[in-house]
Amino acid sequence: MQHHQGAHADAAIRIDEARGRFSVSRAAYTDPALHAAELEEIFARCWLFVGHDSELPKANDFLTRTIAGRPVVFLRDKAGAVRCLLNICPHRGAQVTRQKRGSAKLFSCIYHGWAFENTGKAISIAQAETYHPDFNAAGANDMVPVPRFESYRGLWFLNFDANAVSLADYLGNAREYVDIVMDQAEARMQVVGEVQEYSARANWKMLAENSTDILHVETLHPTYLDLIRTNSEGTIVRGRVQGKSIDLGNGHAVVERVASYGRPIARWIPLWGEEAKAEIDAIFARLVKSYGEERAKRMAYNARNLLIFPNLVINDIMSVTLRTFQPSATDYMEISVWAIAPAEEAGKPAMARRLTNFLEFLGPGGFATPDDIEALESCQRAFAASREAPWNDLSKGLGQAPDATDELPQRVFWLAWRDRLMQRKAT
Amino acid sequence: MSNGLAEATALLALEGMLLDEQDWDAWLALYEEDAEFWMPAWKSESQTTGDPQRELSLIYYAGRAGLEDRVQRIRSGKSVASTPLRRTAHMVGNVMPAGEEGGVLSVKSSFNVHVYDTRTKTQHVFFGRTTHGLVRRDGALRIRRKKVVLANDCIPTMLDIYCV
Ligand code: FES
Ligand SMILES: [Fe+2]
Repeated sequence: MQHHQGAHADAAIRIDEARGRFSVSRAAYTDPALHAAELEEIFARCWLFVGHDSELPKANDFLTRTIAGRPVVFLRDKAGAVRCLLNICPHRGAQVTRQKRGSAKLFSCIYHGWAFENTGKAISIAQAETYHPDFNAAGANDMVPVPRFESYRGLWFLNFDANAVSLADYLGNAREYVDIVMDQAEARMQVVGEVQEYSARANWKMLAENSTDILHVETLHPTYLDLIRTNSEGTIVRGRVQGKSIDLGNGHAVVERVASYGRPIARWIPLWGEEAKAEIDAIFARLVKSYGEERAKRMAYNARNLLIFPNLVINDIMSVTLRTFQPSATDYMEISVWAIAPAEEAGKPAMARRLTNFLEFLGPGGFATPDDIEALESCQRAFAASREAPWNDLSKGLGQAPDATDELPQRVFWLAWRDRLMQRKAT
Repeated sequence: MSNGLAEATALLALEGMLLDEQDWDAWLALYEEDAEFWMPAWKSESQTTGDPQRELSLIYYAGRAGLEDRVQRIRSGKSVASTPLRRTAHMVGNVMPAGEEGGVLSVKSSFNVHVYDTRTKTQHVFFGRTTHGLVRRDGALRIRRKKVVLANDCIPTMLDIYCV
């Protein structure tokens, strides 16, 4: 069976270097067997984003989330350590907490009342005297933590594979791009407000592809481009994007390019007014002081779309967003989005500009995201014709001089996908 | 006051009808130039965000110009998410006065908006509560503020001003 899945994944990608053609089978977006293999070989083995540590500002804060289908509690324990526990009672399986967020030193199960410290340690078993005297010895009834839980620059990831490489090694070259985003804050980056959730009737891999796809921006998002062009009084130049897409290894990829719109850190546009110009100049000067002119320019004037395989997107565009998506079914995903911003912006006009930028573009009520979702759903609907028209094309730029709109990040993603699905077969 | 309430109730019904009929100009004309349109996000099961300048909302416009941008997007035919436009039916009810301050009459109401997507032949109901801040101009009530608390906030595909 596993052998069969591996072979299946292998057949899902067809590369014809001589003709510069890279094709992906449309069955890869619809086949339940491949979906099951992904859950096993990708979602149970790769590092998956859970949340940002600023979402848990105080000891005892907790949030519940669903990661690759598993209910988890993301929390800061009473001693201040960030943890991730599986949200399932060691007794007979009730969710230990059913709240979306809260603050709790103890979790007490609704079903039979077993109670746990927020470290996961069981502290009370209903009618303990009726059990064997050693029943509660040595943590036998503690909540189960996720097998691995590590962070990088405030971003917490879990891994369901106890033998996975470290998060740092897994991120590899992607770390530099996480750094360049996180370094924009003088104090630290923190989540603004809450996670936004929406859903799409499309396979999760299409959002991975879409998030580093610059080619579609002009065609799919004209209403957004019109809006920002009007608002920026003509400072937006359309046309060829200057920049490049880069294979960061392990399935991660980034597109870094010159931004054509205002960036809160730190590219001023006339729409924001003269007062904002002084503010933004000061931010830029700080970046130069801390990181030197060259890196400061790169931080301020370039935009980045980063995909960390398989399902974390960091978009450092007109605002900074984190986006993750859960593979709920072959044709359905649940999407979570966060806005992050420097802590020092809180309560300043810079924050209002950032939130406006975010809401204009992103999220289910923005000017761009709904069009992306419609495009993805449209593909998913059309995949019903896959038997007769079986291949998606991702050839752009293959063997050519690099361009920011190349489909290189998508090819990087798919090759890692194939390697992951084939891996089990090899070992 | 009772007169004001009847008038406000009629205005809210009219607003829903204009959106259903896609009479965007008439809809925009119900709004003051400096009208604020705000749909907060949910922080927890029971609490919404409190400040659109500091916290992330679902939709926030500080003036009618933002609504005009949205209408322009809808009309442009260039947004695939808005073309073909979904069909809607607004049901606005339980209209109750909620105080008057500085010439602004606050009115609370509940809404159900049935949204039908012709592409997928699927339907969705957005529902929640709205608070309108109304002012009188040239003898008629107009909208100065609209705050929409969307109760079902896990949003399928998209959300627009005509869906609430
Ligand atoms: S299932 Fe939790 S106490 Fe029984
Ligand atoms: Fe897009």
